[in-house]
Amino acid sequence: MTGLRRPADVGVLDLVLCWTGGLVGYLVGEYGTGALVAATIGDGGAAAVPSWVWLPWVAGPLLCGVVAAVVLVLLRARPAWWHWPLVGGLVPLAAAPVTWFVTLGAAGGELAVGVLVQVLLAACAGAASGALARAGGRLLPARRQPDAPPTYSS
Amino acid sequence: MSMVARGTRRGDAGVSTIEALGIVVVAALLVVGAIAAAAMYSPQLQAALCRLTAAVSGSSGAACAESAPPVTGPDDDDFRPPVCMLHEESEKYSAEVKVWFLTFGQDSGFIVQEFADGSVRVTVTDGAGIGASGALTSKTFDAGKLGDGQKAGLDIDLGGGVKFSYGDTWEFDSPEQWQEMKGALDDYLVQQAIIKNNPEGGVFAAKAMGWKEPPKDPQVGFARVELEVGLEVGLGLKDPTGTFDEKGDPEYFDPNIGLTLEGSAGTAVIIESNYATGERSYTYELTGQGSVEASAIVVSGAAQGMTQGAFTVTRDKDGKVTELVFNSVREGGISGTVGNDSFDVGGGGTKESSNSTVTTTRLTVDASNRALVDRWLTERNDYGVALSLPFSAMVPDRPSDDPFLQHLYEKATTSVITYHNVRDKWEFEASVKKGWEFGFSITGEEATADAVSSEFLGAPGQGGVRPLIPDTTCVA
Repeated sequence: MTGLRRPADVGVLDLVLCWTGGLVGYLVGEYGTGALVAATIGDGGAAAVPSWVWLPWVAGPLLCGVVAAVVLVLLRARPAWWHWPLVGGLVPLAAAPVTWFVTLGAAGGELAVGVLVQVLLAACAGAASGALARAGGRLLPARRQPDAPPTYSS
Repeated sequence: MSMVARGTRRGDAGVSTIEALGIVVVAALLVVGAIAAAAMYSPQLQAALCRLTAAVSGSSGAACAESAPPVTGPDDDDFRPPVCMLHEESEKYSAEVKVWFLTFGQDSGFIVQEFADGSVRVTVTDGAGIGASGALTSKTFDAGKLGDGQKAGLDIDLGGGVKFSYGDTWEFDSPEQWQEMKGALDDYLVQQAIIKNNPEGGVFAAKAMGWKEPPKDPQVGFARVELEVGLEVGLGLKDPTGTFDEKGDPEYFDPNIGLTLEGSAGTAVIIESNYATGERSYTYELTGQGSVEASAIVVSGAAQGMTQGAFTVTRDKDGKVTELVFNSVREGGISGTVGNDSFDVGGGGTKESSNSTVTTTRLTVDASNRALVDRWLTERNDYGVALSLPFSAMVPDRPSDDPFLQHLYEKATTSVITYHNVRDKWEFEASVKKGWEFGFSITGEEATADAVSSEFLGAPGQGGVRPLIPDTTCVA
């Protein structure tokens, strides 16, 4: 409760660092599971496509939200509640045009639905991670404030 | 005075030194120039010296003519036929698979041809004629499934929105390129299956697995039209250079080729279109009974069985003729006469009846001979109905009074490939016919025969005859 009342001190640089971490999580989650799917299919062709082929779609945003939230925690900032979904959810949204470009628009109108689901997943993952961090208390000390400048007294 | 005289002597000495130096330089230049001139104008110089010597000595100098550079005529390599096909096989493509609840793709197949230069041609079919062994049969390629340019032919749906027309053909520089494309095609179909069955999220999985581009478009397509239409479009007799009958109707090339080959009823014309270059080849299949009469052009002896032939005209995107190809296949090793001259057309003599000979004569047409070819294409014989196409055009091994045949003798390449152990005559002929439909060079048909010798007409030798020379680049 007290955290909510405190003024947020998450700056732009903090957000950029969180998004960068989220992007790394997004790519690792998506392409890591993509490689797993590819290895499963092997030379089996279309008949060997596994039923869990949706995993890269989901793993990317989930890992994105978690990693972005972890970075926010590591920064020892004092985020407002909306910072947690923000640091996670923006990455899939920003990645959507890239996906459209890379896939030559092959997904058509369904891509919007796919991206919306990813944004929600990443935001939820970020918010959930933030909630866990807050519930865990102040495990990490607050960001150290710079010392006050010395003053002269006569 | 003494001072003056002494000074003059010193001046004379200096001038002498400079003059001597100049003489040396000029002499050196003259020597170098003479050597260079002798090297550059050696024959002329020798001739001039010869004439000078002759004039001085009072002789005629007739023997002093400049020796002309030796004229090198065409050699055998100038008449070597284009690369022949070494190997052909058919592959059934397993596109028909079940992905969850959906059937993906249909039966399909590829005819893969490897040529002597390593290049590969791959043609898509519906796979219907491919047996369990993947053997090539006459049923592998069915011209009846081709479109006619107006109506599309049989569609081959590989699934995932990948559709080709029956007969679409790709050309590759090497077998590895084909294997690469085949692998990419497989991957692309997997990708399309994933997207199709998971519309929202499948694209992310596909992207994560490495996005695959669709297979490249085929370079060549085939169509099949009826003879009359084929004549019209292939020989261009409706253009201003065409001829018209008394009623003003355009006259067509009549495939009644003398007494030898004639187009049978219902004959179709196969059109091969190169999408990249705009070239189109029109192949006219011709058949004729071997029991030809005396004036005949094919074989004056007792020819056996049926002779089949094909005549192909290739035109560039502007409609200009770029190549003529004459093709024939004949069963039996018959030693007979071709044209007016003796020619061993098959295995020679009374050879086994299981021999077959495929002869291909190819003439490249360019600006230097296009007028002659165009004139020949529009020419009529004495009866006014048939194009004069003597079968001896197949083997232009000696000079002729006919300008076109003489041109074939001078420029055309001719390959003669003999097959032994033809296991199924009908099948063999059908395979060759399929080859004509494809515009292929024809060689070993593993399913029905073995090519055992390959020869070509070399450069004119003694008596002006172009001898047959073994073509080791085709059949070793």
